[in-house]
Order: sequence, then C-alpha cells, then structure tokens
Amino acid sequence: MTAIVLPTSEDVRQLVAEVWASILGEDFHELAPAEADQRLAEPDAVGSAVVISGPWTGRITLDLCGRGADQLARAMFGQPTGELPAGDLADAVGELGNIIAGNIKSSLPEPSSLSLPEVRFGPLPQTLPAPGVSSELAWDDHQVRVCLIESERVGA
Amino acid sequence: MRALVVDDSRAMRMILSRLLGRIGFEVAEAVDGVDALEQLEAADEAPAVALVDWNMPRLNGLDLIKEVRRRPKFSRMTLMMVTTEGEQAQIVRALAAGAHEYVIKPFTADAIEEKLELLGLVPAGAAE
Repeated sequence: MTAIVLPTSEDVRQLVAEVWASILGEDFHELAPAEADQRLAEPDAVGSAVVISGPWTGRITLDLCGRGADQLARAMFGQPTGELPAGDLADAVGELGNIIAGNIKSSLPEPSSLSLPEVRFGPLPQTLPAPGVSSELAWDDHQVRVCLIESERVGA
Repeated sequence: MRALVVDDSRAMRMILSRLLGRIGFEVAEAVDGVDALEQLEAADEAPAVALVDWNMPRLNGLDLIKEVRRRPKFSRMTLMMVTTEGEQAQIVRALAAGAHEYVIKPFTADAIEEKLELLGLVPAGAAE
C-alpha cells in the first residue's frame, strides 16, 4: 500500500498566495511564512472547515484574523467601505476555505469528495488535534493559518 | 446577451457577475441548482451561458447540467463549470454530462474571458 503524500507547508503557501492574488489583485504583494500569532485567538477571528472524504479523510481548516478576513471579503464583494454584514463575511470565508480545500483535494489520491464549508466566528478552541500539516502565513499586517487534520481511521 | 451565475456563495456570485457585467452580459444569479432550474423554466428565453458551481446544497452543479441537457428547450445554452473540483475524473464527468468548458477556482478574469471567447460568446478583448 502506497503512503499518501500530503502537500507541504510550502505547497499550501503557494496555493493560498494564488487564491489571495486572484481575490486581491494588485493589492496583494506577498504571503510569507510566519510565527503563530495571537491575532488568530482574538474574538474577531474567523475560520472555516471543509471535510475531504476518500483515501485520505480529514478536515482542511482556514483561520483568518478579523482584519484579514474583512479585507478579503470586501474585495470579493466589491465593497471597500461601509458595514459588511456578518453573513457576507461568513460567506466569503467559507468560499475561500472551499477553494483551498478543493485544490488540496486535487493533490490527493482520487476519488475524494468535499463537504460544504462550515464557518466559525471567534478564536479556535484551545485544544486542537495534532494536524498533519499546519501552515502559518502572513500578508501585509494580517495572519492566516491553514491546517490539514487527518481523521482517525474508523476500524483501523 | 444574458448569463446565469449559479453558485451557493454570494461572494462568488458577485465576483462572476461583476466580471460578466464588464464584458457586457446581463446577469441573473441562482443560489443552487434548484433555484437555477426554476429560473430557467420560468424565463421566456434561456440565457446564452450559465456558469455553474459543482458543490451546492439541494441540487449540485453536475446534476443541474444533466437536468438542463434533458430539456430540449435549453439545447443551445452554453454551460461552463466553475468549481474547486479539479480531479480529472470529475472534469471528464462534467464534460460528458454536457458542460462545454471547465474552470477551476481560483481563476483570473482573463481565464473566464478567454473561455467565453473560445466559445464564441464574446469578441476578443471585450473586457478591456
């Protein structure tokens, strides 16, 4: 049986940079590896989770600091100013999580399926399962984390 | 020329609608496959093109394409899948079901415009 090779942190960084560039256009400059940041523990942090089911089963989580999520959502909605409803912020972060998870799925053995994204407002729970891959990144003054968290195999 | 954007994400619908609007399309939006079918059935004339997401609640994009292709009144409508689903087998399934083109998210405006040009739906450089 061949071991499943997961994307590396650098693969994830390149993917997220491609997604950010497609959303932010000329306003996006660089996405760099970063240290874990307190901003993802702030109350305005936003996260999404998408489940991949297949030869590799697990969750792809995306966590954004509040200001970063706001910047991306405003770009997606074409709304640079004014109040952005929480529902729109959730929609945008869910779609970003969906795009990232879909592209990660494409690098995994076929066939696999994607769940619809679930969005969470507020900081991550304090205790997280050990992820298979965790990528801490920063752009401008914003923080993002993408994790690939393998589910425990049923009956293994 | 009219277009229909079918995606359960309002943000993605807005991105695609803005893009199509710049090219000159009159754009309608549907939140999933069921909504799209209802709008298509109710319309006097089918749109020239529908951009369809794959993963949506109620009726997904693949099943929507199959439903559209079963209806002769929509036979001239161009269908473009715009999705995060990038597995080769899924691309083949979508094209076999009746999609004319397949775009994987994230995409650039140029990529969508190029596909529409290839399909003969817009003249070259329409968005410039």
